[in-house]
Amino acid sequence: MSFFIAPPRTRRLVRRDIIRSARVASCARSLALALAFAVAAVGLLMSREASAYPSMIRHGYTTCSVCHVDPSGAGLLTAYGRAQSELLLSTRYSKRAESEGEEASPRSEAFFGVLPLPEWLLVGGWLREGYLWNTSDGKLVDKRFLQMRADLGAHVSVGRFRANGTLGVANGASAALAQQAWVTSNADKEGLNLVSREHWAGAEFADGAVFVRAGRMNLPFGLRNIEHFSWVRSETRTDTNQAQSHGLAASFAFGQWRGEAMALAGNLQLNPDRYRERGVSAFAEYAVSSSVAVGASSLVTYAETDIASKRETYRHAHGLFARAAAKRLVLLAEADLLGASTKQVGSEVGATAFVQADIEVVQGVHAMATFEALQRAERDAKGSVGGWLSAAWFIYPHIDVRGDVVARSVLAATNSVTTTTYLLQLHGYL
Amino acid sequence: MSALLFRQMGLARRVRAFQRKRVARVAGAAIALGLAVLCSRSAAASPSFLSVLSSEAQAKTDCTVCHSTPSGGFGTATTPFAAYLRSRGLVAASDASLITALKAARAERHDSDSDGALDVDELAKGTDPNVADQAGGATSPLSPPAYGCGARIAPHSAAPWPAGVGLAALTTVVARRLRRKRL
Repeated sequence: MSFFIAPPRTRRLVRRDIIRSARVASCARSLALALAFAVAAVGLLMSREASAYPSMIRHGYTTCSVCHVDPSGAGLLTAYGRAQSELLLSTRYSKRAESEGEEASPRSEAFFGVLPLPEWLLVGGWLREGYLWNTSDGKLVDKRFLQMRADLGAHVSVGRFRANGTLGVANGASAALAQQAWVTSNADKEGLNLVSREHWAGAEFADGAVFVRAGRMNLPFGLRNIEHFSWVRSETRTDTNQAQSHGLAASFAFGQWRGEAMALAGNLQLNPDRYRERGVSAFAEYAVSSSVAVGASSLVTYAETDIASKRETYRHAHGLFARAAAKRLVLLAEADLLGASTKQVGSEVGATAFVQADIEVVQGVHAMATFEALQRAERDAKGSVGGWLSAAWFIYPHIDVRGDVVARSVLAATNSVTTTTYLLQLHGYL
Repeated sequence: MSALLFRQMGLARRVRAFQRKRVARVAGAAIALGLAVLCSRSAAASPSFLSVLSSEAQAKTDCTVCHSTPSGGFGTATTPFAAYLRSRGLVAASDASLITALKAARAERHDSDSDGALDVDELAKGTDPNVADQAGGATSPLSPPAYGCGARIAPHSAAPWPAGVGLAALTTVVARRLRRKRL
């Protein structure tokens, strides 16, 4: 029995048909990506938040500067960081993907590989959306969409010099959680504001082991965790969402040590000057092994008028923190003493603590349990405790969803309340 | 037609179907993301207590009149003035309950810091009803914190044009890239 062989012209036609259909698909894919990008651009018209994952110590990353342009972590990713985001952070759906070795796909590149960029330029964008339900003593008192963050960022490096900046938009609904980073001053409820959380420039020394920079940046203090309203972040005023300060900082990474110290010039986006907190903030961390690191941090500030107490205030926060990983489990812990000293009331001391267990069930899927406690540095303040149950799924490189249930028993001087917050988030990093 | 040709045609169809599915998945994800973003935009809402304080008590103040943190936040309304308002029915995210509590403060002539100046008077003067040493207007009122550099940008109505410009720029880039690929 014999088979007919298709004539060469027919084979050419079929091949051309395949190639054409591949082109059409490629075009459609690009258009779909363009649509996603356009949608993100629309999302940039509102905004609140930043991301950092201290739990990356599970993969042996005790320092942050390999993956982030900020030497102390959070914010814009380096090209290597983008690749690790795909290889280590996101769920991988096929064995083939796992066997591809250490090569990341173009999906991990800026804007999913659609825009080729020169090596000296890094760009990124954040879009974080959420829906929130709040109950107070069991009664639903608040539910709403949250525009948490909509920023673009860029980083330029020329020789040893580097500059970094972010610019985004915040809507009126997110004012309470973005206003400290406002560039413009539209206080209307429906108004829009430009926000810039970070803008700094600096130079590297000692082959990159030392980095000195000036501008607006995150305060070097404690765990740089993403839960910006955890008490260790909100009570020490060191969250990466909006609590950055202008100043001059020097960071180092030598062997198993890393750290940063910053002279705070105050948040120059806050007026009048009397509210600006000036002082110093610093941390140092020692990597005991590739999976265990311990650190200490300290912060002392002075404000002619403290933004909360409205008094001339010296504010302190001093604490210890640790990160440890064992197989799929990562433990993060921080404990800080809080102090406030005013002429009228004298010195008062409080404390706050945070412990989080993070289990990566399968790659990209995390289950987390968190305990936190707080005793405010206020007269007659009573202790408060809180617990979080969270789940996060890194669905695709740079896209993740997260759910949190946060229960807190808040005890004030004259009353107490039990609150529960349910929060769903969708996060995309361009 | 030869068997090989049929096989090749079948392969082409399968490749096209696979690619169509892939494109559909990416487009679906993009549309879902778009809907999430657009829905959140239209449904955005926030507690408007500062507006109520301004309209009902002519208050010149910020979140810290009630909250222990500059940005407010759930569970942080712990100042004496906030505690009093809560005792008069204030609950989170309810403008009506704040109006009721402010009326009570006025009717009961409440003075949270016991300095002789009523809370509502201190709110109007711009002094802090929680802090006795600024009371009564004896000292010049404290100007509340102001954020940003003073400039304003256009409100919502002008918002779509940057997205349009962004979209046009992106479309141009993608089109150029595709053209380059074809060449």
